[in-house]
This record gives sequence, C-alpha cells and structure tokens, in this order.
Amino acid sequence: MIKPLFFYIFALSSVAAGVAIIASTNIVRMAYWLIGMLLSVAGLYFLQGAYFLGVIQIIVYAGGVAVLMVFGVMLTSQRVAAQLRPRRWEVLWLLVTAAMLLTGIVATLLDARWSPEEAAASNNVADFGIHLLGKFVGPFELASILLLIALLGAAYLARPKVPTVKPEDTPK
Amino acid sequence: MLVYERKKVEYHGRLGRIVALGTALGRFAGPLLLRMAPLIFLAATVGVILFSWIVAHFVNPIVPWLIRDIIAITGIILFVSLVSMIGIWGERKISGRLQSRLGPMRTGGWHGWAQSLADGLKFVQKEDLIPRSADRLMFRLAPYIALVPAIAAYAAIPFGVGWVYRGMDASLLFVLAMLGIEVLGVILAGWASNNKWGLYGAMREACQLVSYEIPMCMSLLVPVMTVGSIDLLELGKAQSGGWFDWLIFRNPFIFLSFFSYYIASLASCKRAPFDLPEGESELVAGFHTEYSGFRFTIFFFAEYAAMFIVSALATIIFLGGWNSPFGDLTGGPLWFTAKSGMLIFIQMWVRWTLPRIRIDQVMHACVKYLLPFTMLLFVGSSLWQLFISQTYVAFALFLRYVLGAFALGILGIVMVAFYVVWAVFGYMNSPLMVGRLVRKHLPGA
Repeated sequence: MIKPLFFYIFALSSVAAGVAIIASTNIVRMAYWLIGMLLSVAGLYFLQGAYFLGVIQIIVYAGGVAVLMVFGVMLTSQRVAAQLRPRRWEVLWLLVTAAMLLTGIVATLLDARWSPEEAAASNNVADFGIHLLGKFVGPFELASILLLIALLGAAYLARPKVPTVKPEDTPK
Repeated sequence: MLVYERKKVEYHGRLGRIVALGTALGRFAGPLLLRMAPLIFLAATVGVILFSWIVAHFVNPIVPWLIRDIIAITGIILFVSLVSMIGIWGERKISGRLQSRLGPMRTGGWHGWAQSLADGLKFVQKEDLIPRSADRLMFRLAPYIALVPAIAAYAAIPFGVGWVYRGMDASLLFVLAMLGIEVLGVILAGWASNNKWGLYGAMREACQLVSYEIPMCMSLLVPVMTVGSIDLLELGKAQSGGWFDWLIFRNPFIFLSFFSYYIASLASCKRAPFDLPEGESELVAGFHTEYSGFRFTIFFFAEYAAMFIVSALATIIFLGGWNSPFGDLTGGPLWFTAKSGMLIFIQMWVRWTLPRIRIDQVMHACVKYLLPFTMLLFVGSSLWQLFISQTYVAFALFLRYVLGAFALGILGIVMVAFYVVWAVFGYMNSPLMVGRLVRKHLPGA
C-alpha cells in the first residue's frame, strides 16, 4: 500500500521538476530543478531496490555534475546574463526535434513487451565489479580512456593564457 | 550604502493575542525550564524507556513496521540534535581551554552545559530577515537542502551490529552521496542571498568540496579494497577482536590513508584549517552572511551533523567501529560513539590550533599533494594485497619467488618515501603570492 504511494510521489515530483526546468527562466533555478529531478529518479531506483544504481545516480549527477554546473553558472550575474528566453526560430526547430524524440520514445514504449513480475535487480555490488572487469572490460576501458581524454582537454582549455612571472622578475 | 527600511510589524486581533500569550509564556517558562532542566531530562529518559517497553509489548505485534520506522527516525533526529547541542557547547568549552579562558560558565549551572539550549531559544525568537534582492524561494529552501541529507545519512550508519536503520549493500556510497548533496544547500545559500560575501563563500565551498571529494573517496578505497565490501556493517565486522585487528593497523598504507582521509574530511565538512567558505576574517560570515535566526541554526545543525558523519565513517572503516579495543566486550554503540566523539574532539583541537590557510594553498594542497599521495597509497596497498593474498595463493607464491620477501611492500614504502621527499622539496619551493602566482595584468603585480 505504501509502495505505490511513494512511487507516485517520486514520479510526480520528477515530472513536476522536469516541467519546472522548462518553465523557469533563471539558469541557477533551472540547475536546481534539474537536481530535484535527478534525486526523484534516484528515489525511483531506491524504490525498485536498486540501491547501488540510485546511489551512483546521486553521487555522479547530483553531487558531481550538477555541483560543477551550478559552480559555472553561479559566476554569471543573477540579473543580467542569466535570463534565458528562446527566439522564435529556435522555438520552431526545438519543437520539431522534441516532437521527433517524443514519437520515437512513445513508439518504443508501445512496442516494448512489459513483464508484469519485478525484475530481479542485481543488488550485489560485487556482481557489478565482476561484470565490469569480466564481460564488459572492453567498453569499461574505452569509457575510461574517453574520460582521460576529456580530462586532458579540460586541462588544456583551462591552462593559463597569460605568461606567469618568475620569482626573480618580481619587483622588490 | 544601502539601508533597508522595513515597516514595523504590529500584531492585532487574534494574532496579537497569540503573540502576547507566547511572550508571557516565554517569560514565565524560560527560566523555569532552565532551572528544571536536569529533572526534565530525567523524566524524558524514563518516559522513553516506558514508551519503548509499551511499544515492544503491545503495539509492535500489530503494526511492526510503522512504530519501528517512527521510532528510528525520531531517534535519528534526536541524536543529531543531541550531537549538535553537545558539539556546540563542547566547541566553546574546548576553544576556551585552548585560549586560556573559561568559555560559557553560567547557563544551567554546571560549566554552562545548557548554553546551546539557551542559544537555540534565542535564535528561535530572533527576527527572520530576508534581503530584498535575494531569491526568496531559494533563500528559504537552502538550509533544508543542507540539513535533510545530513540527517538522511544517519539512516545507513551502523552504530553496532543490529543498530542500523537501513542496512544496504552500498551503505558507504550512500553516506558519501548524502555528504555530496549537502554541498548543494551551502552553494544555494551563498548564491540566493545575492551578497558578494555569500557568493564568494559559496564559490570557495564548491571548488574546495568538489576537489577534496576525490582524495577522500580514494583514501577510503584503500581499506575497502582490503576487506572487499562497501557495506559498512561488513567493514565493521571484519575488524572484531582487539585493537590490533583494526584496519588501520592492517598494513602501513591503510595507516597513512587514515591521515589523508582525515585531512580531506576536515575540508569536506569545512572545518578549520579549511573553513574558507565562512572565513570571518575575509568574508564576514561567508555563505551564511545574510542568514539569521532559525535558518542560521539549521546551518549549524547541518555542520555538526556532517562532522559526526565523517568521524563515524573514519571510526567504522579505520578504527574498528563498534568493536572494543580489548577483545569482545559489550556496549558496541557506546564504543562507537566514544571513538567518534574522540575524532570530533580532535577536529575541534585542530580548528583552534591551526591558522586558516589561503584558498590557493587549499587547492594546491589537494591537487598537488593529497591526490598523488592517495593514489600512491592505493597502488601500494594493492601491491601489498597481492603479495600476502589468500585468494591468489599461486600469484603470491610467484611474486615471492620472483621478487623476494616483501619486495613489493618495500617498493611501495620506497615510493611513499620518495613522495614525502618530493612533497617537502615542493613545499620548500612552493609558489607564493608574491612569486609565480602573480599575473602581470593584475593590479598590484
């Protein structure tokens, strides 16, 4: 009795937060609604018993990506630059893209054969490790190489563009 | 200079009567409460014991989960309040001792033990100010985003075998995730108050926490790898026995990783010497400059709750958790709380001893020293594991033949020693504000 109730709470809050992302014009608020949506989805994972997946969702997205996003966005002013309003033609092609995406998702969902019984969520962290370093070691290593490249790229972009001063050059 | 002019609020009618009643009640009951506080505490203890007895015998057989959940959640919230109450009072007493003064002495009688209660009452009565230019919704939301995850983390912390509200397979990750969300509240508070000090504090918090999370998790990974589980219960159970069975004494790398974890955890709950987000010598009060009254109290609660969480993690993972240092004794939760309390005491000791470091030094310390150090510890510990492994006996034997006794461990120790020499060398030639960090285009260079 209590489980469907919590399902509806999490599902409704994730949908509401998703709508709020679109409806709000302030970019920091958008980021926080996004965090709310990610947390609600993590709640859905917890409800299904997939604790590891939910926790990883919180650590990676809410704790890592979203903090960095907020950090970047916060440096822009609250009043001047952060008001986002799309132009007419932007609205048009965004609508077309969204409609195509929605049709695809709905078609896939209608086509999918849902099994009524609960999927046995692999809750064991050890299983994750064994699969990651056993059957899926290739994609895992590829992903790590991709992340390494991204790290190097970020370091390259963030390098100091002004020549630094050596200690002996500084005026006494 | 901007001066806010606010209308004087006067209450009339029913509201006015409520306010008058509340004032009269406070004037009458406040001193009485403070005087009778030991009796009230005693009565509450007896009441809780009676209540739990009644529940265990009459209510539990009918609806087991409801009462269990309510009691556990209430207990967690009470524990957090107690931790922050004792923590704030203890902090003031300890700082007083370290600075050769007495600290609070009057309130409540014995060494001013009711100081936090009196402060709490005072904070609740204070006016709730919101700056006119603040983002009102976010400003109000921020304290709760900081406090709620800090309380939620206690749901997965085992105080002993069977003393955990929700044991789960990934409980260590759950606690770390909750600590990660807590940051969001602090950042939001700084941004929403639309104040330059608040924004500076929030930015410092964001960059400091995001970078210190990595060495913190990596140094936790070293003992976790030795046990092979991220379930806090399993980690605690793996250390039963005496003090020599604790993970911190399992191998030298874990011993070192305890200290790197401790340093990173100081940064992650923004304690000195890493308390730059609220550095009062530069930023007035940092991220909570604009907060007053009850919301300010909530930030305090969140900070002390987080302090206990990181100490509890250190206790469970490194210091044997609820196991007593002298063989198998009873009273697991008491041992656990005592060890965590000891670690909190050391946090306070460090705070009132060391000066605050600069933000560029904070970042240098993390990226240049702490992160490579924890990575070395990780490599060294995995080599050590492989060498004395029970599961890969053949591999261990092979290593023993190829590399001689303990060569791998010694290799790791040599690496760490090399790192220490290198770090000291780097510290000797460290970049100063008057040196390499100065840019020519900045004024004053």
